[in-house]
Amino acid sequence: MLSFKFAVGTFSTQIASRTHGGRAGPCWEFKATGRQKNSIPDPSDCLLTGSGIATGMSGEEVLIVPYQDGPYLVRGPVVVRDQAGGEIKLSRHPVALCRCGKSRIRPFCDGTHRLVHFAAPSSPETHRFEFKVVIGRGDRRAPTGAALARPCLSSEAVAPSDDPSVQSASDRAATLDEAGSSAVRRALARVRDRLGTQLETGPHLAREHNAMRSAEPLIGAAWLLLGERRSVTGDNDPQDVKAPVSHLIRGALELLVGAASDDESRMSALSRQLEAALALLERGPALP
Amino acid sequence: MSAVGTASSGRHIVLPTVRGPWTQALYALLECPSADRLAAPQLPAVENVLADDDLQMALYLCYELHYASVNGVDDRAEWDPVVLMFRAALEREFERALMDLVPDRQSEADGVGGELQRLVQDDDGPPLSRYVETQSSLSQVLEHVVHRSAYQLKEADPHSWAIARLTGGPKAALVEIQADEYGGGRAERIHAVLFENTMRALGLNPTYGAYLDWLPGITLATVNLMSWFGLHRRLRGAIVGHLAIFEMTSSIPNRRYGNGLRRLGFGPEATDFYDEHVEADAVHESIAAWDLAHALAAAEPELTKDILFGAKALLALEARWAEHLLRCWSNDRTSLTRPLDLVAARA
Repeated sequence: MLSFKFAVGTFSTQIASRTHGGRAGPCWEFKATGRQKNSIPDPSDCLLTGSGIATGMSGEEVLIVPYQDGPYLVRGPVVVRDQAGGEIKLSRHPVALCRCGKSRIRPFCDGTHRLVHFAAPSSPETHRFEFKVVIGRGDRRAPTGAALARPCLSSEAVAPSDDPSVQSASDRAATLDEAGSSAVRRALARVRDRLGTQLETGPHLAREHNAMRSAEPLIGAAWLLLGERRSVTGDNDPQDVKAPVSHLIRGALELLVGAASDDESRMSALSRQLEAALALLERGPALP
Repeated sequence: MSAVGTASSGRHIVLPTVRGPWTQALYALLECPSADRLAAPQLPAVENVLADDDLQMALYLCYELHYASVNGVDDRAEWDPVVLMFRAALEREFERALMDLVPDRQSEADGVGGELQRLVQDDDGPPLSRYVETQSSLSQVLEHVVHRSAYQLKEADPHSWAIARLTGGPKAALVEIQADEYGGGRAERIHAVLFENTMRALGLNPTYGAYLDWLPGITLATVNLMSWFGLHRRLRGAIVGHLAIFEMTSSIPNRRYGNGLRRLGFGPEATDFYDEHVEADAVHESIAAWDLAHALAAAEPELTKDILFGAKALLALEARWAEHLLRCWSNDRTSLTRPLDLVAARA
């Protein structure tokens, strides 16, 4: 059982075996504990006066609203200048400023966030990624300490990929409750930042796209494990998470390749892209 | 009395060629005075309503009465009960076909905003914009523009009907979007005007309605969808869902269409319309998804189903339309009802 514990909730997956809805397979779930600070916020909560952003403004006020998974919208009398002081002309009001960093008309938004699957809540993010990663097997629980009083990521034994109880790639397509997955989604966004363009220019059929969505939680979890382990230990080559990370990535890879299996050239192209992704992931994210 | 509503400027269309029993029946209704008519005629059933050239044109023209003057037709025909009755019969057919096409799926828990995002992510429509960007020939690009002229020359108008039917935040959000669609106070930046410029730059005739005879039913259906939603208060949820998806699926394809024109050697006068939409619709999509659709569902939860119906119906009809274009082009056929005579078509 692999579980991630956050300040306000717990993700858990049982990769080995569990009857869920009549069939054995992995199951991701999110259990809220206490305040649901990291559930996806409802942007309508942000509306001033509850009747729309535009109507909540006085004439001269400048208002900036970050939209969920989208740009910053800026309303009101605002001037934008480049660092040399030159005015950047605003051709419309409101103006949308790029938040994903991938627009081709920066500083303005051009909708590219959708292609790179940019994910960010509308309200402020609260996680500072001060996670402690603890890897253990069976009852060999890792020691807890003061560090674990902070938001905590812990992992227990992960089934090896040849475990017979792991039924199939699709069984491993854990559906992660989105409302509880913001940390994983943010981690994934970092993967996407690097891979987005590459994947976007690759084969892009619906099946692959859906497979990618199924694979996202696996990639996200792997990234999180690896990144946090490195940031906690400063170890550039954290051997103790290599196996679970590799397992998760292979699972994602199988899903994606499986989705493209009736077209050999597409399959090999996708496979190459993902092998490259795997190599990148195994190098791990850069330390801040 | 006679001067009212018969201004000499503004939109005029000429009735296109009769296509079958539905257009023929409509023309008969439009020609003779109301008192001489008893009821809308009974007409043969149509097999593929959503792509029927005749039926969709008849419906399109019924709606045109609300947007434009029709040469030789009394402007009062817009509210003529017999014409409206005829339109209602067409709309019943249209609604039934759409209900068959669009699966009625329950929305998921995180609300309309999230559900719309999911619909867009899961959409597997044909890659028309990629094709136009990278491969299409000049005549295919021109055909694409002619298809779109069915809507773009009155861009935003079908959604404006909904302004009067909304209140509070959703109304303010819709007006904020529409103000930008209509040029933000500058007539020359009205999006429909930018499209006229594009048509002119491509050597096409930018006159409103000039290509009616070229437009197949499958194209007209995409516009009839919005007029139908927009003109019925009961469907205000659907027109809102339609607009949200329209904006959310616009920026990236428009960049590609612009690139397609650049690839074929056209300059800014041709690409301005598309380039404008990359940036404009990046603004609109957030407003439409959250401040308009999501907020409307929050205020009137009973409209949730309609909002999602409008969204899904758009995706379904657009996919069929795009598929039609790509299929025709891959068979080296015109995707219009008749080949575009480039010499005659050019203004």
